[in-house]
Amino acid sequence: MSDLIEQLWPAFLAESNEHLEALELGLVRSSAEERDVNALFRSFHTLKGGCAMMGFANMESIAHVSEDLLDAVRKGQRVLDAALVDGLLAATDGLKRQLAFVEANRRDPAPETELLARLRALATMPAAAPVATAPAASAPARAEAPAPVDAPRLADAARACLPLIAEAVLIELPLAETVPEKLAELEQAAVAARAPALVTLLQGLAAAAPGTARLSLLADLVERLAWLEEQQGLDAGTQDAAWGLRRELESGLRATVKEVPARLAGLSGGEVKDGIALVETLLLQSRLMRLPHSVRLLRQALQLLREIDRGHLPAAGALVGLLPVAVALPGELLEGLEEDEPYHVMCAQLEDKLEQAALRKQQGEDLAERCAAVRERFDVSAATLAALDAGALDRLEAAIGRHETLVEIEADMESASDAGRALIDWLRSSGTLVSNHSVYAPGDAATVSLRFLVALPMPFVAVSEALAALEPQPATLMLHHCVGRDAVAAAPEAAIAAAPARPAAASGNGNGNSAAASSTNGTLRVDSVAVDAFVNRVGEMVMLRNMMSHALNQDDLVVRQGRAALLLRERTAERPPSNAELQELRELFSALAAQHEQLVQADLRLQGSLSRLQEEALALRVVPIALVFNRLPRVVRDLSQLLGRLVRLDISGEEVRIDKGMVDVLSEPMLHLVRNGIDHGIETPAQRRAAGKPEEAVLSVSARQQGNTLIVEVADDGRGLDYDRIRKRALANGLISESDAAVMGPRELGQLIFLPGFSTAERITEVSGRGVGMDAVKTRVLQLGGQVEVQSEPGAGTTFTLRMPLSAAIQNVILVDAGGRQLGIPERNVTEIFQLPVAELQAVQGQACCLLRGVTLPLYHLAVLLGHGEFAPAAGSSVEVVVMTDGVYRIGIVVERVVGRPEVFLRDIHPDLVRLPGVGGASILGDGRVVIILDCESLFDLAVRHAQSLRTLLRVT
Amino acid sequence: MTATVRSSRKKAATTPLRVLVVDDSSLMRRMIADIVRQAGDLELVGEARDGLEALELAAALRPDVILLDIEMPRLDGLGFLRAARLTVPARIIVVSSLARLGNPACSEALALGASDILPKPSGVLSLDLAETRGKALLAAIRGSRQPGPALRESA
Repeated sequence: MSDLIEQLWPAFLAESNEHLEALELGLVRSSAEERDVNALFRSFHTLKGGCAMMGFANMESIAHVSEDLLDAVRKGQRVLDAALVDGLLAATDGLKRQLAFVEANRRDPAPETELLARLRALATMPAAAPVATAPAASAPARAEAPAPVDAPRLADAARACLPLIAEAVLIELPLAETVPEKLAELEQAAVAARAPALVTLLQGLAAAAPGTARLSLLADLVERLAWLEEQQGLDAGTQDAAWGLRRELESGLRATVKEVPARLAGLSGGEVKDGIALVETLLLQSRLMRLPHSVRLLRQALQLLREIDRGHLPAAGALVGLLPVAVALPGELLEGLEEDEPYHVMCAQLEDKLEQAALRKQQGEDLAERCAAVRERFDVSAATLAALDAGALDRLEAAIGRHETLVEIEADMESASDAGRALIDWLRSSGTLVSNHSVYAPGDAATVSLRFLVALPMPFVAVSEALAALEPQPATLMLHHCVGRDAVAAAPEAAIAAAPARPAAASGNGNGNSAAASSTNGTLRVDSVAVDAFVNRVGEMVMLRNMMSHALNQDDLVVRQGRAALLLRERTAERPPSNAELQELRELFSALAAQHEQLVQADLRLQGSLSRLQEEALALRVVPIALVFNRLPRVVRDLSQLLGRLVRLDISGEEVRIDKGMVDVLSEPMLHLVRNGIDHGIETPAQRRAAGKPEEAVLSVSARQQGNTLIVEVADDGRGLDYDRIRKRALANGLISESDAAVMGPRELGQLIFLPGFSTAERITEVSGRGVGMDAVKTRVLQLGGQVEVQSEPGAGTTFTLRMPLSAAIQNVILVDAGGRQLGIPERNVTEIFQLPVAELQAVQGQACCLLRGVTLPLYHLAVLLGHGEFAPAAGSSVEVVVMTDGVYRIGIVVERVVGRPEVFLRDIHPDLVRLPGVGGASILGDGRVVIILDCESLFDLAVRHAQSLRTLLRVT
Repeated sequence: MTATVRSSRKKAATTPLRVLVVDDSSLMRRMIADIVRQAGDLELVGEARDGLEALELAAALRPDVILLDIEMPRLDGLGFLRAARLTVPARIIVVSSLARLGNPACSEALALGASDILPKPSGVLSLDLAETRGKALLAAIRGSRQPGPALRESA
């Protein structure tokens, strides 16, 4: 992020200066007619946005108040009179002063209190009524959209075609066959009317398969065509189309509405994802049925839910009460679908209420009161309390309710941003980060730091010890215990202090417990053993949760209840139970069911919070790959001197972040690849000159992240792989047969250099060529769940590409049944799974295979490969084929059944076990069973051994 | 049932979503563009300074997603949304410092077909906020899945 700030900094200064100049010029113009109020408004608006983005709250507030003043002017609520112009000029001057400070000091300037008060006074002054109606110039810059070139024709076409298209969509017909001429007619009209959005939608509709996505396209089309009706007063047939849709979708809407209470139940607990999906469904139904008021209301509800989901809005209070009501409202409409009148009033009222409730939440109507209540009970600094928003207060009050320890921590983020991040990570994983805000300490050595308010479920002593362990250095952290007022008497040392460099910031009596602040440099260091233990614990928790979830979600609760009832009835056939007994039984059962449901709900929430925890835990282990790359320049320099080469090393992507555990594993292979490149790849300057290349060779090492995959490339511009020599060497070493050698292409030959015991170097050198290098590289990368590829152009160079997952420990596996055992296959090696009727099995030269999209796929039964079963499928049955690739070859692994696709935490297993062919690791499944996770590479080896020759393996094309 | 499971690596290789950023502030464009660029699965195809430029670029570049500011000179965000009704098929996400419910411009933007509304990134210096906002923005660009459940009551 700090790089980004460096980039944004000049842009921020330039833009702010530009707008301040424009404001000065614009404001001093003599007559009201010449002033472009909109431009003035936008300048303050842009300044506000920029300051907010950079985090300069005290600049932002001035720009904000000024913006509001001008907004009132452009809305015609007040006049831009001399007093206002003076005030705004003063604001401009103030912002200029602040900008100069910011430019020099790079931190939020001190608040311009007087200026702010003056502007606020202007804002609260009774608004001078505009003398005349607002001049045209002050209307917001909203050029109206041009009408389509041929709107009437478009409307005609829509009226003729839309209802039929809608009907066809609804009864799930393929459109291209049933209504092609309607689609074409409407599309032509849309082209003529210059309405490319409609053209795109119609083409999308024609191509889409029946289903929700197609309905969504239809809703979009209908809504866009409705623009012709709203703006041009034309009839585009949307109501006609909607009638058919209403008839058909009504029962669906009813059914969805019924789900509202259950699915919005978790709202106050912050579980909103399911609510969002529900409202999205309702919204689509309402859009298709053209229920404009429902649509408006639901859009609003959806937006509110998203804001809650994003954490911008707390899920509490009136809002949470209103949302289910609003969402269920379309159900009311179904009772009298045609009488829209009272319904739209209800919608509008609810929409208003939602907006108001949201606004109150955001603006914190009752915040001051709640802050005061906290301050009465706890020793929290006033500045910290003042910076709390509603969400932070919610968190704070919840933490107080849990009797957690409240602390304020002040950290100098400027001199140690890594330290800051480590601190934030620790705070997040250990407790609740209630709020953070920047603190400005004026004076000669003016500093700015961040102050965090944190709630932690541990005694204060533990907090201070943990921080001391985290941060072995004095000048960056200050810790303040927000003691409960009633506890102060009992605990005289209310605060622990503090940096000697900043006595002003030290609070409390500083009684010498400086454990929290003692050390030497600017980085926070966490013991890596502690991090590993933590990550492992999280992994265990995930597994335990899976076990619990498995137990909870077995459907047999209901079955068992039924069975119990049946038994009872049989037992009591002679003496039927009394009504009271029956009633009691019923209550027992329903209480049981309710408890079960509660557990299931708790489990769902636990899942969400655990997966967040897991993400955060894994993020703790992340470091830049520079830790690996930093060792390379020295090696390149030493080696090229030793070997008499001229080499320039280009390193890029060193900022890519990788799992800490990968640093050690990657270091050796990277060193080897670089050595290999210089020793074997790069020619001597004389050879290069003779080949017409520059004497200085380029060895480039780069890293990049693609999705969850880390890609590392080592490329040289040397002589490239000598395929003839590779072929000869592999033959000589008995790695391939004569017949293999004849048919192998560059790609297969390239793979050979990774085989154990292969070396093409003519001589054994100091640095490489002992034939123990490349296979070690490959083994290491495979350990990380990755792949190595080599590409080479004779005379032009060689590129090694390493691909590996960024987080190796937790992975998805395909769980399969084979020969009566369950085994896991890592999903990243699997390209697809399909079912194969036994009748379609073929055999070529004794090798089982089948046709997959016209290409022969060799098949290996998993149990046979692993040596614990026979492949004897019953005639007429079918098997599942898991298609795997190692990047070069593709094989099909035959199993009886694919059982599932769990996410597992891969554990180390006993080293002897790993030596078993095919085994990569083990994990514990949800039901507690241990499952062996297979290793793709080793499966391929087994397959090769089973194959008659390499030729039966097919290349991936 | 024939299960077809694709590895996550394959999924990452699908074509990136093409994004157009519309904002009159170069600072804001830069910030948003940076967030978009750093996500591996998105492609920034253009930047427009106001609604009129955005209309031109949308027609020329055919983006999948447009990130739209509201307050802009010449043609503002709401004007752009009106014009886009028949001309721009892209999903439009409003990114505005006006983004607070209860603001009429936001309700209006939703009614005009904006698919989502997000506040502008803020508090870059305090590390924390930029990250969460960036995440929210990226999640919104990638879009929520289409509503899954069947729309009609099953028999």
